[in-house]
Amino acid sequence: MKYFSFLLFLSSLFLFSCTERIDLNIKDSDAVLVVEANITNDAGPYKVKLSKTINFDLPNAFPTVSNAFMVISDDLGNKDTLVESTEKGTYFTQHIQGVEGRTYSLSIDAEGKSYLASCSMPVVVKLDSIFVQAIAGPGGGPGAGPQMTIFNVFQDPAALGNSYQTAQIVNGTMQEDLSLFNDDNVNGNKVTIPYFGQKAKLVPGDSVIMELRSLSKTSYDYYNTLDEISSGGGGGQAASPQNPTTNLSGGALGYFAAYSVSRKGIRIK
Amino acid sequence: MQKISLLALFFSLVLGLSAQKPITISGNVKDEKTGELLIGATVTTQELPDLGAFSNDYGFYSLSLPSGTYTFVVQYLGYQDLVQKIELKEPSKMDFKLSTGEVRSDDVIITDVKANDNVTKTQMGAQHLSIQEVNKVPVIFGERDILKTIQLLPGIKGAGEGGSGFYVRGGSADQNLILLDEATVYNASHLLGFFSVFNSDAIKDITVYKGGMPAEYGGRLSSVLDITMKDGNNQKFGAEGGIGLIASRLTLQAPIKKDKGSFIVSGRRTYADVFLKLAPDTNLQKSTLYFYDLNTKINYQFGEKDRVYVSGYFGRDKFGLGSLFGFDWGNKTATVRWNHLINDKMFSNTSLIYTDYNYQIKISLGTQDIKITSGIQDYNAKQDFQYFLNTRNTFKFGANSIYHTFIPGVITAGGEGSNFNSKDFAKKYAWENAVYASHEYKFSNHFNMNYGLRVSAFSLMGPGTFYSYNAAGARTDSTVYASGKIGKTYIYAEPRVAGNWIINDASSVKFSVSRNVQNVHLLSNSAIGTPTDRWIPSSNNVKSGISDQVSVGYFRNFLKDKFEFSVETYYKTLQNQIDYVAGASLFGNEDVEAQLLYGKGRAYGLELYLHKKVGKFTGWISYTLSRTERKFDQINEGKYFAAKQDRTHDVSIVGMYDLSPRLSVAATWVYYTGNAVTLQSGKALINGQVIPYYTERNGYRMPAYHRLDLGVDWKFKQRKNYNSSLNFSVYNAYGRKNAYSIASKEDVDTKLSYLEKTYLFRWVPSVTYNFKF
Repeated sequence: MKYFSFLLFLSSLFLFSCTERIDLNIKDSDAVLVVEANITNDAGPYKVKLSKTINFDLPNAFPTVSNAFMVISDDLGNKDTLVESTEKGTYFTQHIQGVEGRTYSLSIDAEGKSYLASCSMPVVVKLDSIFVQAIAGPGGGPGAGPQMTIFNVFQDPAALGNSYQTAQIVNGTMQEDLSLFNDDNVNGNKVTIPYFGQKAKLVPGDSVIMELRSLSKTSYDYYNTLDEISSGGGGGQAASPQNPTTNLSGGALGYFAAYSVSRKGIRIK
Repeated sequence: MQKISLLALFFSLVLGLSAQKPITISGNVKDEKTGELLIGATVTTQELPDLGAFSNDYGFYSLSLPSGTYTFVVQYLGYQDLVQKIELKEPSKMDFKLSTGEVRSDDVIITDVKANDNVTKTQMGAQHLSIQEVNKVPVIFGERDILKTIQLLPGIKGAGEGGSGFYVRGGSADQNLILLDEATVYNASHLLGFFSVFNSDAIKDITVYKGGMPAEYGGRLSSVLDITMKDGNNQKFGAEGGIGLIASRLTLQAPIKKDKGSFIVSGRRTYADVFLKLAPDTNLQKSTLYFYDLNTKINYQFGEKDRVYVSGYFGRDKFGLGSLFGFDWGNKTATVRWNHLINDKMFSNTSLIYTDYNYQIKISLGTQDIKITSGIQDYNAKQDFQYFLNTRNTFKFGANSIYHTFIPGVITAGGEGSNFNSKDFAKKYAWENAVYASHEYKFSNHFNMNYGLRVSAFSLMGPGTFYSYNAAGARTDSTVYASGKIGKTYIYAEPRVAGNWIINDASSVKFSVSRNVQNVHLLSNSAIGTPTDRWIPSSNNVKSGISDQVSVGYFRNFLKDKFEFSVETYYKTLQNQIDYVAGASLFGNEDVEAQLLYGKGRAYGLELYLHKKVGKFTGWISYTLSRTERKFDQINEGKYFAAKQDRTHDVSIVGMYDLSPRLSVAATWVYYTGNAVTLQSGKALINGQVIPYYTERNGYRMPAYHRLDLGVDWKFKQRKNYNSSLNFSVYNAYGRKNAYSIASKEDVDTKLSYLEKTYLFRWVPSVTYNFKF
């Protein structure tokens, strides 16, 4: 439900609003480690990116963190040490294979500090089919007319507590916005849900792949809190914005996510 | 048993002190033209000016004096003083009728009676506003608004543009008890706070208590805003109304039987959405955005001793976006009251009250639709007694019982092949009870005291399941209560003490100490209050909010009471305050209590107030210097931090000037330190997006806010009984771009981050035509 929330409602208020650049004295902050780590049931290798936060007034060039010692392991005792690629701060696994239902751990030793995280990979929820329909609203925001929108159809498992993310790959390019939801209001149903994240207009001939990711509850919380403070996800609406929740110990930002995926493709006519 | 003997001691003490045999005069204070009962009028005599009485919430007064002949003086702001010689030989009934008309020179009688009740009253931290004064203050869209006007008083701060609610002495917005004819109003704002739900045409009287709440009030930590609707003209039919750019209103009142009973009906409707038709976007053209409200009240006097009032309010905001999205919310209140004079010294009021606040959201997605409702409902019974024993002693005591129903959310899904499950989140029930007693005692002409005690009990009621949670927010235990079973109960004693040392006719020093307890809590984690904020009861997890306040003030009148000046200081501590974990989801969520953080708060400040009440020029200056802080173990390393509403300086200047009997001008200027706000101190790159990195809560300040509003009121010549006027106003006259919110942006060329403020309004001119006959 969160997609509709008050953004729509507030948009009417902001019809009358304007913006202007202002200067406020922003304090310096100590750099902390930022971790982006995923493991899925797709074939490896899996990527982990390490970077650091910077002060607000610096240009958007984020220092990477090299020479970290990282191990991903699962609850069956499989272990894999990551290797840094030629791209600084980007590391890849060597042999470990993500399997649905297993729990994964990530340990990081970087710049003299240690960080730990663990995450369970939920069982795959199969994307049954996808279809295209022009609808008003969600696809293009409240202002836009009817937009070609992709609908995902899948069967939510009977037990409550499934969390999902849908991603869209248009002509081979992963779109920036992921659409996040859970089964609070649709538990156990055959679900038909539009992809709300779509920004680019779809045109005939486009090849579209939809990806349904099954997330753990803690991963959902992470993406949800990340959405709240990022400009695309309604940033600025929270009374007191906070850093996203994390499963990393040791004071790092970011997240280690283990999720399972299912895909379907379609060509726009 | 112990209580009874204490009470006996109490009475014997008091009775022993009243040696002479006084004679009681009692009755009502009324408006001569409309019969409207006047609240808080002073009734005194020239002969014994230190012995006086105030008319109560129902216009009733009772004064006991030694037998003799007295020159009675009855005063009420905005009315002529009434002076009347009365011989008191036996207990008498006397209704005083005050007139608002022009003062004729031969009527002027020089009296020794001073208009200094602000100095002599024991109550402090309270402000009484006359509706005439409120009506002159310029406001946005030209809609007179009591909620906006009280925010110009010291110690009361508005939530700012686009924000609903107000903050009193460092409290949160949900810590204000807003009463309309005794019924709690849970959401007092329309259209995101640009209007209040109170239609000033239907309002008679407003009193706001910022501290030292009398014992008859309870249930909220910060303040009481007690609003009384007009009773209706019981002399003749009258109509008044106004036509404005975005709102119109109409009020009708008439006697049911002259002098015995009357009714009033007042309605208001906005049409803000007509402007949306001008929008370039087709969806917005189909949008609706308006509210309406309806106030009604009937009263009837049965015999000499009984009067019955029935009053109600109904208001609704409606917002719609084509056929895609519909959203409406509003309050309903109903109050039935019975005033009964047990004897000429003892006044009783019995009230039955119903309150309902709810909202509804409708979403249509192709063939599917979904409807969400949520709200809160109260049934409330109240019994109050006032005993005017003699001029030195007044007692108040009573009891109150409220049954709350909290409706966290009902989801109704419809349409073919709906994705959504219909769901009814478990309702919560609670029973809130209180008894109170207070004694106002005049030790001497120089020292008054009012001390009282309120004992409140709050119980969760079955049916319901209540969970306990571990630190990670997972359920660890549950308790199930059957229907009608009493669950977790909180009982608190709330002492309320106030004293007034009257130095002389023009100055006094007052103090008050009070404890308040609150058991309903508003959850709101958006930057501004929204209609979907959720009320929850105290429970096994959420503890009763407690506030303790001490305040001391100096009150001084100048130039024959033309100027009132006061300085008040306060120190307040708050316990069991609520904050939220990151990403807390409030709607429906049965485990919402697992997402709350509990902490404490403190607030202190200095309030200066200078008010000129009478003359061609009226108005006030108020200044507040204050600090408001909160402390949570999980936030800012457990250190005190500035609360959002912490504003170091807050200034309001209000001036109204009658240029001629027909032309008056008014101006308001406000200035305050920007709210405390959380801004990023750093940034990170995640998924290719630059996201903010926060290092502390509320570590920054919004830019200072200031604004000037201007108003002109031109009265047309009276034709027979028809009066009309034209009111022009300009909100934000010098067009300051006050920041509503601050967000970070990235410069496309330099790739550097910068901050950008959003501001809502620059100049908002408006014109309203008002009429009355």
